[in-house]
Amino acid sequence: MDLLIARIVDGFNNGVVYGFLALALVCVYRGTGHLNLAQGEMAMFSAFIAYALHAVGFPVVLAILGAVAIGFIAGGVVERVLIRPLGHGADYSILLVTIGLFLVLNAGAGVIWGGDPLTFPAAVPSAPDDYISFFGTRLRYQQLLILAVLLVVMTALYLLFKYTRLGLAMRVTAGNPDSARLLGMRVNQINSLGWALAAAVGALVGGLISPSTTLTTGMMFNFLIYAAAAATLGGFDSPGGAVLAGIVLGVLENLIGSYISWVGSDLKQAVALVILLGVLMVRPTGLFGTKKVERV
Amino acid sequence: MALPLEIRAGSRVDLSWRLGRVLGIVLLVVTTPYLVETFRLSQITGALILAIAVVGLNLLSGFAGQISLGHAAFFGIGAYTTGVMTVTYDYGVVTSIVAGMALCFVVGVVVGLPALRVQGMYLALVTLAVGVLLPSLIRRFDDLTGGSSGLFGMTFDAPEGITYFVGRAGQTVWLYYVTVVALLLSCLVVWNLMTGRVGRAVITLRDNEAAATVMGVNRAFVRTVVFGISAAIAGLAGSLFAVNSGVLTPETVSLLLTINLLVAMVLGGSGSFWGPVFGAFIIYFVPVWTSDLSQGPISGVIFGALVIALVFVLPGGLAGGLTSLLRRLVIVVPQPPTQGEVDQTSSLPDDLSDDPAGFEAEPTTDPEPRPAARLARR
Repeated sequence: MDLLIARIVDGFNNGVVYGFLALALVCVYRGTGHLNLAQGEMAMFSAFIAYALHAVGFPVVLAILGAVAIGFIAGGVVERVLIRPLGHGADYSILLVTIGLFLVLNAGAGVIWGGDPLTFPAAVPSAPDDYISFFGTRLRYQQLLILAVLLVVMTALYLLFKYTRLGLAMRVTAGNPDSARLLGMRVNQINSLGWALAAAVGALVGGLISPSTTLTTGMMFNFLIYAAAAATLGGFDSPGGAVLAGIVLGVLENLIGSYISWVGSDLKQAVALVILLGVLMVRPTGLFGTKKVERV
Repeated sequence: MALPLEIRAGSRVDLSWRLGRVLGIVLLVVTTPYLVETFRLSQITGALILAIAVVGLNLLSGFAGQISLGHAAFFGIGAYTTGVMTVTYDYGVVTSIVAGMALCFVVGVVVGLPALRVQGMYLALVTLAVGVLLPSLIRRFDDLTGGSSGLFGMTFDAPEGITYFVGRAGQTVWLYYVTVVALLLSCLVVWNLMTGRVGRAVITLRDNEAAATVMGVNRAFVRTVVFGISAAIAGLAGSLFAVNSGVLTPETVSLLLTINLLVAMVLGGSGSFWGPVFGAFIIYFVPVWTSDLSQGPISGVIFGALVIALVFVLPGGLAGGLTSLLRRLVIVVPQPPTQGEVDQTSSLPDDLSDDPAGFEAEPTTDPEPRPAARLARR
């Protein structure tokens, strides 16, 4: 029983990270209606920036917040400089630009900070005995912090999308940019905001998980795949759905991976992806996504 | 002399220009083995193999407009089918290539089925899932595939008795010609498919699905079969890759390969016939050159920056850029109808139907697509 709970908690903790990064993907989708393949690398780069800020003397929390602020600005700039000039329908070009960004950031972090893993301190005490016992399982403070921050960010985004004029404008913009423009919305600024928010959320994830993953250029790559799966499962336009789907993915993956020996650790990722395929076959817009009705 | 020069379609200049292009390509292909060193020729073969895969991807993503982030999987299925069949079970290479292509076709059709329901980004995610699944499957079934340590020993020997292909250098030349023929066949398949009735159905489905369905296009059939053929061509490339490199690891068919294929397609010019070949050569040789310039991760930065820059400088890809450049210098104008022809119903010159330049007049990366296409792509 204890083992079961331990495995659920393990999966849950992974799932929280998937869901967190999925939130960033959802923000971009809310903005421009695209999948940003470089989202994970942007988060990774932000984590390195937090590391650099910490190295010059900022306390950990301030370093992470600084990286979040820089990420926010950089996200907006990326949208303004690299995405907006391509126009709204240029799916391939945008996909390619995000791939290019992926390569530049990944290799760039290697150039600046080298290929060796770096250690980044946790924001809360994380000595070996800094944990809360939960049915015999250790919940480390850092894990609890990540969960708490995730819940705050998710709620904030939910409220933003659902109840503010800005959020309404973002939804309209993603759904139908032409109509939004005709209605007098500042489509461009809203798109920039989406990218900026996404980059900030990503920076937060990067700063929070790097104590446990160590800082490497490849730290976000697997997370991005899971996050994309979670965002898809949850429906790309639903922050709560994305987080929930991320957690469900994390738990299921861990349970199936550890109880079905045929699957083992090699096919854990495959389990998540098969779940994704299965759900998309039945519900093409994800579990919580809104169906897009199109007038011909 | 005022540019652009005007050439009458069907005139002697036009015919010799077209003939000249074909002869030039043939000459280039035939003389290449004599002009370059053996290791360079084997690199060129590698680029040609990549080109085959890009031709396959271009059929699906360029012409049919379905983004695939999982084409490395089909490449991998072809490669590992050839690898396992020839090394472990001792089948012939040709048999294994056919088997690999057939398997890819079937898997492609199966993956194409959800593609009927999901579109755009969701489809990209489905294909991404397939692309990420394959390497982990390869690692899991390592008794069959060699797992992370790799699969070795694939070769494709030239038929015995042809002294021309003897020895290491001869073997390289043999593989070069095999690859050239395979690339030609793949291009021919795509060309024949896209210049006919099926091609019009595919393009219409891409640009306006509702209109296409109303016009009686069998959406399910066209979409899945195009997916299957595209996958089979990628599988062919994979098989050739296996025998050309002799080593297969899960990393060779990772997401990075898919990214390279996509970049090659868009850089070359998606939805054009000869763009993929250009794009594949760029993707293959640019990393070689940038790593010549400087070692380590900085070459990755240059490569990524180059990708971004090319998207902005050449939005229609190289094929689009070259075509519009060529049009500034030379344009082919249709032959004016002679007196007797005017009354006939079909006075269109043949040129309109089989000129590649005319066919790709509307690149998919068009920054301002028509409103109908916009709706359909969401």
